[in-house]
Amino acid sequence: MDDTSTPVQDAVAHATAYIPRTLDNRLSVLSVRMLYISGSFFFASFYFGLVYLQIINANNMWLPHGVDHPPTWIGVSEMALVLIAGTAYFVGQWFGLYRQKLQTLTLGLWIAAILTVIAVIIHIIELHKPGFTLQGGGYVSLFITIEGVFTFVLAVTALMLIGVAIRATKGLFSGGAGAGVEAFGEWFGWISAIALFNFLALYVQPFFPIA
Amino acid sequence: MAVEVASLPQRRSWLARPNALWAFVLGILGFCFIVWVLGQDGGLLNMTFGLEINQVMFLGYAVAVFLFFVGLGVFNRPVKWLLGLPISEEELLDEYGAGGGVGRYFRYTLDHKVVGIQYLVAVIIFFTFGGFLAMLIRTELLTPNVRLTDPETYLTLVTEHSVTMLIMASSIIIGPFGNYFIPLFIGAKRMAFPRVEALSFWLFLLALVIMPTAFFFGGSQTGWTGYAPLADQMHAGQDAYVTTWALAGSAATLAALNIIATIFLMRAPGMTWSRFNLSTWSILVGSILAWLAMPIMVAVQLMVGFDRSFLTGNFIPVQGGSAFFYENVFWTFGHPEVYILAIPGMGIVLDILPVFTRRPVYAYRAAVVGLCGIGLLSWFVWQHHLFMSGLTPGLRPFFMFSTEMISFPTGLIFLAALGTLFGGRITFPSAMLFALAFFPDFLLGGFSGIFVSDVPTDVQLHGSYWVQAHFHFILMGATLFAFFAAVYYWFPKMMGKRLNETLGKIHFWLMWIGFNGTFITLAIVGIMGMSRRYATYFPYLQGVNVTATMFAYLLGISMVPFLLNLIYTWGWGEKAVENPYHSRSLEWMTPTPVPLENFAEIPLIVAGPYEYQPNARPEAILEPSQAAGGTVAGT
Ligand SMILES: [Cu+2]
Repeated sequence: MDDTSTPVQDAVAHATAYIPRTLDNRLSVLSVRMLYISGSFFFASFYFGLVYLQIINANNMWLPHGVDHPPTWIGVSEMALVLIAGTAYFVGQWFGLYRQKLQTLTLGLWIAAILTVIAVIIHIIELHKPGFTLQGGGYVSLFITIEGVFTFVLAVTALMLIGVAIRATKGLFSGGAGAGVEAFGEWFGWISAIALFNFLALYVQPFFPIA
Repeated sequence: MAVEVASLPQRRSWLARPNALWAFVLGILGFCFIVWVLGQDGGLLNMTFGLEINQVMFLGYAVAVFLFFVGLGVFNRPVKWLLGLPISEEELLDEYGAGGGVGRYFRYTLDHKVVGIQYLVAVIIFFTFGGFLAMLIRTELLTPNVRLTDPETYLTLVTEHSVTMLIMASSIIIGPFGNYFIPLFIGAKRMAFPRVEALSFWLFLLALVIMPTAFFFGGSQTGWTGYAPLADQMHAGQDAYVTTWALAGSAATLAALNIIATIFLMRAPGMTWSRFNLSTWSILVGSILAWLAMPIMVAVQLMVGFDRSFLTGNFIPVQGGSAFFYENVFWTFGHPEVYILAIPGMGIVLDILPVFTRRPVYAYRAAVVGLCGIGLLSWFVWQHHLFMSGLTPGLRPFFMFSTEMISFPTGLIFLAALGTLFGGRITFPSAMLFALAFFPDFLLGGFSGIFVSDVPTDVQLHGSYWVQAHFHFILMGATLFAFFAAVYYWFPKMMGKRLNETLGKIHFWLMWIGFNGTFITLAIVGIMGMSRRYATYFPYLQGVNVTATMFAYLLGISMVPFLLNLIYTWGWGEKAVENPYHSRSLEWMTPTPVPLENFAEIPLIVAGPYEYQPNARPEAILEPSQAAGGTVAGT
């Protein structure tokens, strides 16, 4: 590329030059995209409940007096850890993998993996001591359901992330073999979006009611 | 990958490798240990961790599923991949079942043709089981009072029958024929994600094996819809229902994902979208519906699972939940689910008609528009199930209108069928008979549906046997007849032998008379005022009920010639030639039995699959020369 290209053009050029678009690589990316589209329909069912139960407010039991979300630091750190992990992954992919600096990649993936594991642990703490009883209304029911399901999804994601990091440590993503990092990166991007959405939907919005 | 079967290493004895036997042994032992040793009252889980019965049940099922997959060897390769360990080509070939033998059907085999046949056998077994339950239901209904069962057991039979049949039927075309034939239809050497494909089969199998365990835990009396909060209050047997749907939903999502990706990215050069046969189109549309709708069902059942085991109240009004929440989300899945079952069958029968009329399919593009239109509309009709629920009456006209709109794309399917038959030289082998029966039965299903999509008549017919007859015309009259058409039609390619025609025709006529007799009678029972889901009824209804049961027995008996036919063909059947019907479609251009990689070379597609006019060229060039490669593709 010539000297006048912007950093963005530069990065994209690195990316497209580095990973060959073979059938298997295209399939990997397609599979992840299809998986998170169906996953979006899955989570949308719960989010629909948040809106629906809130509007119906059966027996005034959507959010009875005295029910509050778990401590704010829990919600904020759950979201922040996943978002920072996503950023570390992103840096590893774009400034490590695509520029063939495998140490940067490995470091980024391990940071992401460790932060995700910590996020899983905080989710377990949150579910263990949420600060409300489980019969505490529609909000509480959906809170426990959504965070319970998401904790499981996040735990599986963390396991896979550790695996991807192990493979990076072993140098298995050198020489154009990084399609797995790319595909799993898209998955992790989706996970970050869900983590952000969960924070807004469970810690923020119910306390600024729509109805 | 090159296939050199002779070079495969000496394989270990079947007992020493992961297979279905180990999977079942580990799974069953794990479940029994959790539920009956650790989980009993006063047991470890109860005393130390304070787990209640439903938590123990879900834990038991989770452990059983995990151990089942350990026994099957599902985790071996992913763990190796995550640890960065290498896998040799021999191991990979062995995973594909390249060595042949019966054992590969009982293992986690990656070859799409093995998976297709696994699905076929499983579907037939579960269909037989579900049919047996139906016979028990009809036997109970011989008398107005409870004789054979008690009301709770009766409702459990209804739930078991309906869940088994619905999950089985969701995969009845996509499972066996989608997995086996999609690569052959589009000229691919394999599926996009063989591991996902194999996983989808074993999840499907597990789901349907877990469902009958409800019998041991008080049963499940909700019917297939599993309405909450009723489901929240049910016996521990309902946990089997929840687990079954969670697994079956995941299975169907994964199977669909694999098929869609295969169709998008694995097509042979020259296989343009307008050269797909209609089976490919219909399986694609059905798969897209499954891919998007099944996760919704998994989500809603997880919410029921949380209500049951953690005492949340997602669907319990005193806890701020709502039954309407369940009903809305459930039917957002539930109506597309109907078309996950029905749409793949439409393409199958439209593909069989041209072969036995020797004419191209009529109005191909209109048929494709019809298939896609039905798939799209199925997302906008769900509240026609809730006309009588008390939910916002102002919404009813919209859902009445959108439901009746489905007649238009459906009409295009009938147009294509009639146009294909018109003026053709029609022959009537068993496959064609089943394919032809699809249309009058589906028509009856559609006509009877108009009366329940229409609010004023639905007020009268809701919850009656009319509804039950209506959806059996769709699910059985359409989907099941399409399935048998496909079995008779593709059996020679899948098994290398042709099913016996005489037994096939006996099967057809018994089944067709038995089926129509049963459900036309039950539609009348519905008009006479009999409600669904009761073990008892008014004595004046006994005559029609006995008639329906007699026809149902005939329907049950019609499976005997089919099963005999399978046994007879297995032992003494006539060996099939490569293309017994002189079809022009690509799947018949491969050798029988189909080799591991389907085609020696990726074929070059040069025409559509329905070229029955004289002197038409075949669909594909099987060993394309390099020169032909870039020029013909895309024309
Ligand atoms: Cu419907």
